[in-house]
Amino acid sequence: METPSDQPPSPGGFFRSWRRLYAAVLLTALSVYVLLFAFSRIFAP
Amino acid sequence: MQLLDWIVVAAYFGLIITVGYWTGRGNRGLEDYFLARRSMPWYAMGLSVMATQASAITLVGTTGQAYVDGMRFIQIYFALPIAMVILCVTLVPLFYRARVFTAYEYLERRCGPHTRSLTSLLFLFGRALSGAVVIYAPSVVLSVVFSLDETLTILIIGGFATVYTALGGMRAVMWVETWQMLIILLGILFCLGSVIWGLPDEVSLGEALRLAGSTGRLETLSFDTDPRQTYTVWTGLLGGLFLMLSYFGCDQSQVQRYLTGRSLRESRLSLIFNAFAKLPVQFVILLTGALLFVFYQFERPPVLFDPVTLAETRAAEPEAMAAMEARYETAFAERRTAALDYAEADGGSSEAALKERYVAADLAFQETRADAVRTAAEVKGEPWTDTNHVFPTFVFTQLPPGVVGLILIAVLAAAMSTVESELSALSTASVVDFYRRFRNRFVRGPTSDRHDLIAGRVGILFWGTVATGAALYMGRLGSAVEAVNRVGSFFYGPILGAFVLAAVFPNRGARRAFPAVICGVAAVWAADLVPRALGIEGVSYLYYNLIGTAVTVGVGLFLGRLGGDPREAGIR
Repeated sequence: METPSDQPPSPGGFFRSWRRLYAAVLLTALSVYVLLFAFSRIFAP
Repeated sequence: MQLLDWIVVAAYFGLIITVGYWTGRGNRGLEDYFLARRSMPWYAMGLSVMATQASAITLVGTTGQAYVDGMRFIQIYFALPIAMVILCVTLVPLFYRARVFTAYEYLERRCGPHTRSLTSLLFLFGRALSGAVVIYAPSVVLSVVFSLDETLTILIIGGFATVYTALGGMRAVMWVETWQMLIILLGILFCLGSVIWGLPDEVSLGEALRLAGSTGRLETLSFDTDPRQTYTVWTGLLGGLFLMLSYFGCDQSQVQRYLTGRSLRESRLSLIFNAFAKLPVQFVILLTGALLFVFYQFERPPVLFDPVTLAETRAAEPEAMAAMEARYETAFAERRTAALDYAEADGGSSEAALKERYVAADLAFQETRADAVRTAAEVKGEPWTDTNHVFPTFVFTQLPPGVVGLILIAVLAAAMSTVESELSALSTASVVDFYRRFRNRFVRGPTSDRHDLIAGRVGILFWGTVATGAALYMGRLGSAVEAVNRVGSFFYGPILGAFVLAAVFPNRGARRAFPAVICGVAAVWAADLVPRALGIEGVSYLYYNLIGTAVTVGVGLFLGRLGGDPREAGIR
């Protein structure tokens, strides 16, 4: 497991830390699940 | 296939030869040859990871599956973003800092040389013949569609991929795969556009989606808690998580992609790219198949999508097929009228009745088609479906010249990118995990970079010949190769278990990883075999990796508690 001193440079751009990027990935995944649920319910009631 | 299509195909081969030659020059040692001198940017690795996973069957079979069964398949990928984040935090930094060539090399440091040899051997065994399948499966479809000789198609895909992988090494393979994935993505978008374009003028996209939805083709989520079901949210999240962790974290064909990163940041970003992109790409492929279903509401599809089997079945059962095709014709006309009426319904009170009529007409149509498929299977004397022929039939009968060539090269690119990755991973594991460790027993004197390079190339040529050769005899070896592939999938979970022991419990369970992995494989085998022997339905295969990982970690920790000298496992 990595320690804080092992942290590689930040991912850059909007995401100033890896934690923010990982949080963005997981939030995007959650949004996709919700969108798919909505898609199913709208077109396949 | 018209001249313009052949020009597109020739341009594709010209592009990959040029990219392969240009980027593959100057290989001097194994780090160059197998890891592209650890110099790759994230976008090339990300696209390469995606290309490796996208086989021709992903493109052809997945659209066919959505046509036949709907979009439930997408749930398998639900855990992929979660798995990518877990790997970025855990295994990727460990591999990167250890400067390893293979994932299994890392295990030697924590679990001992025997565990490294065992896991690498399991990978080689599991993957050796899957190379044959990834060459054979698209070759069959392409040869039927093109009316080409199957042997020639196998030799083109297998031979071409083997030769330029052997000549160019990893850098060439990854840059070629980057281009191949871009072609695949372009092909997917063209397919979706073509299907939407092909809908009748009186049917809008919204109405097409309503038609697909009313027959369950757009059902993407199932909350069924039955563990025997594969396509459910829970199986996708739990079973799929362990499948994705095993595949992206412990399979050399994937690990080798992100080991080529020029920094840990680039390697992580390549996986994050996949975390963002995979679900939307898979959604578009499945949506194409679902809309293809709507397209064939208005354009009469053949009773069987495979023309060769259709001809064989007509010849073997002429009267039964003639009667069946007459029923099919009537069922299609009724369904077409019902679909148009339902699509044009304006939400009034009659809509529910029109929907009911359309769903009933579709059911009657599907039953007629199922009868034809059953008759074809009886004629062939084996289980058979034409799912993989749905998409090629649409491409070759409905699309204009040029676009046909583009879709064809997308399928070829998907097939070849998977073959290239498998060959380079098989060669890396055999050369680094076995040949380099044990060569002193066979080769006298010091070895050089040149010697290693030759060994790497021989490895690729060897595995390429094995895979292409097995693909050529697949017709005869079919069930044997499938059995080996099935057993090969049993190893993923236990190998992941070994990595969990190494990374999380280095002082407790890691030293007992060797017997733990064997117990893990036995547990997965039992999970597959026992229900079949008892004639009952077992848990979905997606849970096999979870079972394998859990048993391996559990046994490793238990044996670790019993104590013993770590040197027994060869740990220094």
